[in-house]
This record gives sequence, C-alpha cells and structure tokens, in this order.
Amino acid sequence: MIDQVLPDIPRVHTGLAEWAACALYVWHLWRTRTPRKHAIAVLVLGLPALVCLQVAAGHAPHYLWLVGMAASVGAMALVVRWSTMAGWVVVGNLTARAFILAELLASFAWQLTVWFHPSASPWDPPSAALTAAASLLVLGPAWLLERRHFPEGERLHLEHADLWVAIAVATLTFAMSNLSFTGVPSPFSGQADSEVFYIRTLVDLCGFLVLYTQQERIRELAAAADLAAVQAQLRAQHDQYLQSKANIEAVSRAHHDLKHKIALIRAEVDPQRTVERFEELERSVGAIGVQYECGNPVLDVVLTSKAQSCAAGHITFTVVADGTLVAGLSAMDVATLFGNALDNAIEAALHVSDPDKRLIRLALHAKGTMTVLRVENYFDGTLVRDEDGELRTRKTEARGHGIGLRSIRWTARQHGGEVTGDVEGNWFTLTVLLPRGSVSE
Amino acid sequence: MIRIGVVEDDAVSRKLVLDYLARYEAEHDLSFDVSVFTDGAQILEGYRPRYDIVFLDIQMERIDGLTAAHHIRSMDDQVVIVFITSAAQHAIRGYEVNALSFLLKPLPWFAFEQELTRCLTQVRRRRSASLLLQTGTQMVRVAVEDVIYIESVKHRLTVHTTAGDHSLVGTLKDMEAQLEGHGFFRSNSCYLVNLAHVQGVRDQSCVMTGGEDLRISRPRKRAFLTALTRHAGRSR
Repeated sequence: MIDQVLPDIPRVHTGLAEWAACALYVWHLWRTRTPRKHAIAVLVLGLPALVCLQVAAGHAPHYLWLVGMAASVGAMALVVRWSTMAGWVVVGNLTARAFILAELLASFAWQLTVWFHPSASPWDPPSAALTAAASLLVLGPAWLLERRHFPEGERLHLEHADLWVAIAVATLTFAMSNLSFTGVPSPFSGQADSEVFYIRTLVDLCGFLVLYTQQERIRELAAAADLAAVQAQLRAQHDQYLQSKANIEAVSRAHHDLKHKIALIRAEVDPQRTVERFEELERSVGAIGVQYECGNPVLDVVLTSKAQSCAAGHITFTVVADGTLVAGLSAMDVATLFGNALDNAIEAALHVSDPDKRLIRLALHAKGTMTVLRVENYFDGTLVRDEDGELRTRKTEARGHGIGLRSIRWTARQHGGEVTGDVEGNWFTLTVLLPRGSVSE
Repeated sequence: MIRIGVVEDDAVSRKLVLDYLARYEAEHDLSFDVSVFTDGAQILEGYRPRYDIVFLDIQMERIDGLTAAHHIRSMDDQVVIVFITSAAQHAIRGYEVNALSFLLKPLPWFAFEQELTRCLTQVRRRRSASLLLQTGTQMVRVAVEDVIYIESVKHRLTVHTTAGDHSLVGTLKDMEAQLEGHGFFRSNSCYLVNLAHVQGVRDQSCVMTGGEDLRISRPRKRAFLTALTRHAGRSR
C-alpha cells in the first residue's frame, strides 16, 4: 500500500461489512427454508470472528496482505456454509457475491466518510454515524435487489459453471479495484487518494452488477426450462388422451367387424370358405393385439402405442429391442427418447405417398458396454433444416418444431451420451449412444 | 459372387423370396449363388461359414428360425442374418444373433429390395479393405476390420490388431489419411482408434476390444462421441 495522506478503511469496518453482506445472503436463503437455532448462533458468532480476523490481518506484514484476504473470504464461506448447511456450489456462489458486496459496502461508506470528515478519527460519533448511514444506503437496495433471486419454496438453480463464473468475476473485481493500493504504478491505478477510493467503489459496483446480471440470466433460463418441461408434460398427457380415444374407437370398430364376420361364418356352408373366413378373422384380431415384450414394461407400452399409430398410418414398423438395456432410465426418459424418435419417424413416413415405402425400423442393442438406439425411416427426400443446420420436423403447428429432436439430445446428454441424425439415400437414421449402457447412474 | 441361403418351409413364401432374388439380380445386374433349405435343421446339417446372407423364416416346424440362427451365429460371426416373419413381435429378440432388422410377411417387393441393398452394402464393407504394412524387411497384410488401434510413439507406429501388434516407421497423419472413410478416429495426439472396436466409454477414455483403456483428449471428447454414435448408426 502506498503512503497515504488519507487513512484506508479501518479493518473493523471491513470485517463488519463482510459480516453484513454474509448476513444479507444467509437471511435471503433462510426465507427459502426453515431457519434453525444453531444457524442463528453461527451468524452471531461469525460477527466477532470476521472482525477479529480482519483486525489480525491488519497487523500482519504487508506481504501477507493477500493471505489475510484469502483467510477472511474462507471465513465468510464457513459462516455461509454453517449457517445455511447449503451445498458447496451454493456456498461458493453466495460467498463470491457476499464478498463483492462487502467490498462495495466498505469502500462506498469509507469514501463518503473521508470526504466529509477527512481528518477525524473513524470512531468519532459523526464519522461513525456517517459510515453507518452510507452502509445502509448500499445494504437497502442490495437487499431489495437480491430478494428476487431467492424465490420462496424453490431451490437455487446453480450449476458448477455458474460457480466458476462468479468466482472469476469476484476475483477480477477484487484485483482491479485494489490495483491502486499495491503501490505499483500501472495504467489502471489512480494517483490521488480520493480518486483511488472512487475507482475502488466504481469497480466494486461493476462487479456487483455483473454478478447480479448473471443471477438474472440464470433465473430466466431456469424459468424457461420449467415452462418447457411443463409444456412437454401437457403435450404428453394430451397425446395419451388422444391415444386412448383412438384405441377405444378401434376396439369398437373391431367389435362391429367381428360381429359381422361371425355372422358370415355362421351362414357359410362351404367348409373351405369357412376356413378362409376364420383365417381372415384371425388376421383382423391379430392386428389389434400386437403386444411387445422387450424386457422393459415402459418401453413395451411406448412400442405398442406407436405400433398402433403405425398400423393406422399403413406404416410397416419393425422392432428389434433388448429392453433390459434401458432399465437404468426413468420412465420419463424412455418415453422421451423412444416416443420422440418414433414420432419424428412416423411424421416423416406419413409424407411418403406409397404405403409400401412407409418403413420404420427400430433397433435397440448393446455394443460392448454401451447401448445403441437406432431409428430409421424411409422418407420422400425432402429434409427441412433450420438456420443452424439442425434437422426440423414438418409439423404443421409451430409449437412442436424441433422440440422432439432437442429433447432427445438433452436426455441423451444427461446420461453422458450423444445423438446423430444421418441421411443415406432416402433413409434417415437417428442414432442415440448411451455410454453407460444398462448401468444405472 | 454373393452367396445367399434361403430357409423357408412354406412353399409359397419360398417361391416369392426366390422370385424376388431373381428380380433383384436382373434389376441390379448382379448374380447370386442361392441355396434353398426347407427347414432350420437342413441348413444346420454340416454347416460351414460360406454364406454372405441368410434369409430365415421364424416359424418353422422342426427347428425354428431363432434357434437355427443361434446355431449359425455360434459357428459364423460374419454372415448377415435376415429374419422373415408374419408376426412383428416374434423377431424382437433378433439382437441376440445380431439381426437388427427383419422382413414382415406378406413380403412387399420394396421392403425386400431395401433390406437386401443394405445387406449387400454390409457384405461389401466387410470384404473390402486391408492395410499393407512395411514392418522392417517384410510386408504384412492386415484386414482393416482387425485393426483395434494405431499408436504413435516417437517416429514409430504400433498397429494393434486382434491377432497381434506390428511395428513400423510412419506417422499417424499418413495413416489417418489412408484409413479415411473406414471408421477411424484420432482420439488423441498418439492414438488412431477403430470405432468398431470401441467397447465402452468412460469419463475421459475409451475401452477397446481386448480391454485396453485409451485416453481421449479433452477437446476431442464431444467429436469422438459424435463419431462413435454415427458409426454405431451405420454399422449393422
């Protein structure tokens, strides 16, 4: 630190600011869950701990300055962790945010205090009051702003990547804001004292805003994902309803046909013709009741219902499937992978005018310890791709566009796998590879 | 010459398959060597791996198609097996004998033609490529499908095959160019792996036939998975 005419922030202030920032985030997080008594004790004990640590660091030699800062950040993390018992990703993220808020808070309050009472002791009542007022001026808006990032009754949508971004932003902000205090002249350092304080406040404010914007973005993404999941659920429900409706109609039609055919057999006198009529009857009954038994009950249902859709659309559908391979997947994932893949294939096959050419083949098999799902369909040669070169379905309603393929990819990647779509001649092949195979995760 | 076996106990269906084969020969200017069997037991009698493709009816009197296929597969891991069945659910376990698609009766010409075309592609792919390696003083011919992976150590290459290793002077870059289109992937600066021999993927490595664990470089992981998936979709 350079020799200054103006004194730098008293360490006690820094400690208090750090505690206040921690308390703000811990308090917000508490709103989303039930606070415990020992958690409040942690917060109460954290106050003297953080202040003492800062004061102790203030007495340490200058070259240990960074070590002292690292220790207080660590202490903040422990206060957040023990008072909330949240996971480390959440703790790390909140600590990074609390640290920058504390820096902003201390810097801003001190800047104002020094401006109005440059020579007074920080413990002079007017100075102390000014510091407290300035602190509240920062804490109040920060409180209100951060409040919306902790929606009641919801978990925080924080991923590892978010944690790293937050840590990077906090580190960079801290480094930039304190460059002037290292005494090393650089293009980013101020020369005059008051200017140096102002630079620090500004950079800290920027850091706080960047972290705030990141949270906004995370929240928006989470909301969009929730919405998509809900819509998918609704669509699945609706499809199921349509399916049952179609089934009921098919059964009642079959009932009518059967009655008619039985009447014909009764009336038949020629034994040869009777046999033929019986065979015809057998075939018509067989078409209704194709039941798959592939070793996975969820997949059986999906295959059976899609086979019925294929039969209705005069599509020849062949299945070779070892259902035991997908035992580790949830019912939702099986429905997403197979249902969407077959829906896309059926959609494309229906565009083929000659019913003989409406062919769909599904194969689910193991390759080593991996699982391979392949769905192939013959198509009329028109492929629709969007701006990104992604294949698109030709569904008439705009809502369903591309969702199927995207959700297959999302599901596959959740399980560490990958999806490819390939065209060879008039055949489209969708392949899903799941590396972990039948081993459930 | 493509050798085809047809196993079908029903005379009408048998005639239809034979007619279709003749029509395919005429339309695609090919010639097949077709052997006909009226039951699963008949083809198994003194079976030798000589067929490229076998069409197998599933519902047969003495030995059904699936049982026959299991016997054939135990003696012949190369032949392409195609089931023919009148009930879609009967062939669902075809994966047990590596028969990943089948034909449904009544047999329309179009589906038959498409299936046979794919089988022939597979047969040709399998027959085609070999690699000529200059190892020291002698030349060695290695079938591409037997190559598990190629390793680069300093200025030498080690070609690991199912039958043993060959060491030679060369660069992976040249090998990569030579094996273009044969399902190889450069997973790392020192490995060129045959995707057909990848048996599993762990976090940052792939497990090969023979159990060896090869590292995949981090930036190539996604591309590797994509190539592996595409390869799995193509091979039948």
